[in-house]
Amino acid sequence: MALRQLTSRVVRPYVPALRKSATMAALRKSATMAAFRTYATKKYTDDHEWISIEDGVGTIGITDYAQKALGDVVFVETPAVGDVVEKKDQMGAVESVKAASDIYSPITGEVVNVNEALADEPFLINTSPEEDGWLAKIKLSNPEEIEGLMDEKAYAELCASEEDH
Amino acid sequence: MTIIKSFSNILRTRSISTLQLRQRTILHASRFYSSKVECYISTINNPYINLGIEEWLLRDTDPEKYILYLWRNKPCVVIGRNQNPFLECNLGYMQDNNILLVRRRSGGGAVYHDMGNSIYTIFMPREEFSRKTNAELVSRALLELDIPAYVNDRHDIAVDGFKVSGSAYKIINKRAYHHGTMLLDADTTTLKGCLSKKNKISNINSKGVESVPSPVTNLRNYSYTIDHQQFCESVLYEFIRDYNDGQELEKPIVFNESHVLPQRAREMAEELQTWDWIYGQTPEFTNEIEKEFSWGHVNGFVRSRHGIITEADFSSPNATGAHEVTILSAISNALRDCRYSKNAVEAAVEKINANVPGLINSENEKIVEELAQWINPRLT
Repeated sequence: MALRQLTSRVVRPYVPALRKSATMAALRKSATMAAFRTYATKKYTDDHEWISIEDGVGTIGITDYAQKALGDVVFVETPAVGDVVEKKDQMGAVESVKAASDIYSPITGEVVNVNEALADEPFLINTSPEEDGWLAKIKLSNPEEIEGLMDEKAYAELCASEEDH
Repeated sequence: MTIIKSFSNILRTRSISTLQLRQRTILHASRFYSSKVECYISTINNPYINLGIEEWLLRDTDPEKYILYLWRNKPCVVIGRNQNPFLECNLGYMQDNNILLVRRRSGGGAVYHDMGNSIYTIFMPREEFSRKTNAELVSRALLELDIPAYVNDRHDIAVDGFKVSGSAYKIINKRAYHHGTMLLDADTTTLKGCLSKKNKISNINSKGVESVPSPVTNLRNYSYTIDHQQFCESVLYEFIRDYNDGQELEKPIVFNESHVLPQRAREMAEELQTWDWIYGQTPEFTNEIEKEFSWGHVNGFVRSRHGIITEADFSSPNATGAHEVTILSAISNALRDCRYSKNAVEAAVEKINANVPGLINSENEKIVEELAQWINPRLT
């Protein structure tokens, strides 16, 4: 399974032929980085959250597309370690100069870790939304839920269609 | 029944406005159809209930609809979701003048509300979210009333270089709202009393969101006749022009004191009044104070999270008396886990008397008194 994922990333690093934008650059970068760094699966939701799953624990954050739409982040509310969240439950919020936005959990499970760095550096969400700006780590209680989430290609298409709007 | 007539009944005013004439020239719908816009009005002045209704409108109404909600509050200060009330407001002044403290669900800064301040909320589908569009809508509504309003680069509505309206926004998965204030004829003296930081000495260092102060003015200074009814009518006119192609709306839906509110509105109104929400949602902050007493110099440090004191350290580099040292140490310990408030020292003293009776006695209670008198007001 892992080998299949690895070859699919290395042999066909998919980049849809769309308008050049930083979003695509970030996605492309994270796709190729992921191949060589870890065998973690990365999926996306239509609320612009990403989840990277490894060993039954999903690391969650918001995507580069989302942080751009939000503007400069001034405050982040994270869930507490030990909280149990259901898929699509609110699990935190981000306040930016533009708005206060709720963040939803892509999966059901228990929060096992929270990014404390965001308390002092909320702008990590702007500078590194898909790596250092992660929000929380959740232990999956229903691994099948991942199947219903979008992969990179589907997410890239969603972003493209929203940009045309 | 035209919109104006229903407004007059609702808001109980008398004269015909020039808007009535303009309204009649709007296309008269030959039939009513289920429109994609709605208007709600609250004549209740309780800020918690009004925010509860707002939350109900956000979550329990059709996400495809554009909704305009118009309301006013009795005197209160409303802070943003992630703000620090100890830093932003003069809580002592507010308590002395019976001004409520409210924490709203959207972000942004602290504002003062009273019956001379009108509030509008516009709900839209999430994809349509824009800070500018609705600020411009309201600004046009003011222009129609002959007030030279414009939107500045902070997306505030201003007149003559002064801010007359502040806005805040909230986004959830399918919906977003933009709500904003409008200073018609508010009491600016009380406003300054509540929010002005000029006379406030504060060493509070907060991780929360700080307000950006701006000089403000009332629309009253630019119009003798403007009032809440006129403002509401004008905004509704622009709203249906933009979102309903000018078609007349069904009657606005009114919430007044006699209504039984939807359950979510009631539950939210209750939650908004709890200590856990108003103070317990305060982001982490620290406060440092110091004072020279006759028996020594005292440095104080307090850290608070979720409105509770998590760390307290009151110490003196030069006090030598046994009583002073004991009391400073006892109070520092006892303050931990007390609520951060101007009664924190009293709570700490009660704890000490309960756990270590006799530690505070006739010989040292004077020191406790001195410390309490210094610490309590400096905390808030």
